[in-house]
Amino acid sequence: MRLVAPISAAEDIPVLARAGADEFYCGLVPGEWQKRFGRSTANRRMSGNLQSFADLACTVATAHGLGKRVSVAFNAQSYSADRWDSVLALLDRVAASGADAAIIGDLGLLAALGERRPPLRLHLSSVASCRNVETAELAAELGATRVILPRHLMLSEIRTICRALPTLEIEAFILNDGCVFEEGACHTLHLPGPLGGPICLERFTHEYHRNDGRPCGQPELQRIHANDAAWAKWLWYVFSCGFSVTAEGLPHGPCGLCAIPQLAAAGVGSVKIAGREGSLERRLKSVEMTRAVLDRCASGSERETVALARSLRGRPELCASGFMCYYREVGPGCVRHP
Amino acid sequence: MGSERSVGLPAANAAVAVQWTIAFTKPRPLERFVRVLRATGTDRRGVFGLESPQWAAMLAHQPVTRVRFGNEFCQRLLPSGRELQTALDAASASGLDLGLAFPMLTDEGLEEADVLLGMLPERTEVTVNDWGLMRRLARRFPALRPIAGRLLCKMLKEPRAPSAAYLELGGRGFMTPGLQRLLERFGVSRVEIDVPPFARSADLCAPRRRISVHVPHGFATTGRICCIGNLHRPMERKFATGHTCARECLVYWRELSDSREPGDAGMGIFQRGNTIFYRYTAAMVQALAAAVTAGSVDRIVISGDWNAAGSADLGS
Repeated sequence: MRLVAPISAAEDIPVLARAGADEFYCGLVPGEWQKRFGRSTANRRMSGNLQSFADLACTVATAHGLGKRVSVAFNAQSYSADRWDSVLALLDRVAASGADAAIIGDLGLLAALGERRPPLRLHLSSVASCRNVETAELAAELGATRVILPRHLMLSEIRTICRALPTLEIEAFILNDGCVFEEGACHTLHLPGPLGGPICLERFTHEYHRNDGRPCGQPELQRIHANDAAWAKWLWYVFSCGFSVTAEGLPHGPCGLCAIPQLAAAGVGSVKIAGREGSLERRLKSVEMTRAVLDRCASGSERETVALARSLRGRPELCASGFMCYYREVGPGCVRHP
Repeated sequence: MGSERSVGLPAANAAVAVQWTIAFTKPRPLERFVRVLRATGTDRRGVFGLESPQWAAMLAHQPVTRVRFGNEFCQRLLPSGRELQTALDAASASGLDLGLAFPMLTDEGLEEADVLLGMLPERTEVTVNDWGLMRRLARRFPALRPIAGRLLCKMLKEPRAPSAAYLELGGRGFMTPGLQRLLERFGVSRVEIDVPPFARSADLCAPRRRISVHVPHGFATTGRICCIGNLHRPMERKFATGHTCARECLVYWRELSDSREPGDAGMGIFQRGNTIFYRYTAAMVQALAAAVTAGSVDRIVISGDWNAAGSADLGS
């Protein structure tokens, strides 16, 4: 399996390549775009983007010099009519830069690009919420050579997609940046902190009601509040365990490392580390962890691989909760029949 | 709860031809609605959060002619074949057209959808919120009529945004050339949308497509993992991808209150199951009314039961 890592500058590439990354992805918001559309970004992230075509050229040259590929994310939920021509022009220049692939979040944009046949590979972003074989087949018909699956799929569901479409490359999340809701179906913004931050942080007070109009009884409310407390705990894990790291800098938070043997057996072709906006240190440690587990998977047994994955952070209690797992079917908090 | 701040509407609105649909996730409220409709000749739409004068003006003399069955947000709420048959029978007995709605689906969900789709009469409308289902429909059920649901017609709908400028970060207009292309590929002539915060009536139009708009609230976000849906699951099994549930969302909903200072956009937010909704403000309803008057919106879809209004008000 290939290890796909996020970059925010060309200089990240040698560092992450030495640590074991096979491919890179980045965002691009050049000055022309900023001038025309202000703070509105050309992809899903407000920061961590390359700022110019010169940056992109340097990124591509650096990656290719090391025999690595670079993909550029165009993973906005959709591109409105007033931006359509600009995004196509941007994609043309990305293709001309020698970048290897574009990551497309909008199936409509994918359809348009498939017809234009640009000289770059097209990857369907996780933002397109491909949960089934039919969607993956549609993406392939429209021109995608790779489908990046959304976060919330079970291993059995991933296996079904991989087996049905053996010639389509499938990529799955492996580390960092969880999402409470379905990213591709979230029509909100990550607002600045004073305005509430991401809606899923739940900076709300709330009150439960029964649909039948009766008041909630005390035992009922106790159960609900206990469930809410568990939810708050789960949110803490989804938000990277309070954005914490180990003493060695290894990031806590959403993780699928111990599922690597099963992802490989399913036919997943690449695993993705999320977080273009994260620090280089965070991304480096993420690549190191993932590379170690991938290498053990290639040379050792599944049992050894899983054991390594769960020992890396030295925090077995975090793994044991199951709340940190992208793929709960294999964690210590294993949920095989949800 | 669910009340709208009053605003005057042009009297002309009442004369505009618009189709009214009422949407139900479960068959029993649908049956109750149909029973009330047949017995009294009134659809009692006030119980659906449409009681304010502005809605009354817009709704005057416009009967509900269609029902929509099924949930757009959660695969765990897919109806059984028996439930669908109940809904089909109730609609048919009252001369109402029935459409069926689906959420995003896994492959397992698509298999279940196949069974349900096979029960539908030809030309039945199917609201699709998953491109895989859209493809499946075209391949296996070409006699059915696909509608692009509001999960496929993406637009920024951040209910906490303090100004329109925030929503313009996503650009204006949901009908992109790319979406047009896909809709043409699948023969889709109708789309469903919400009224986004700070909407202008021009935001509610789409070339060469008929538009249905959901009322009295829109959805902001949804996902596969459901907080209340884990109420009865043991701690070690909570919040796992693909979890099952006891359909707790049919019993509970919660009001969410933003703790910011007054002066923000100020729309009510509530959560039903895995989905967060926002209530339309008077200004948003006005934008919708203008779009109806202009003819760009020709169908309204009223949330019948999976909302914050309480379908128990329909009676038993």
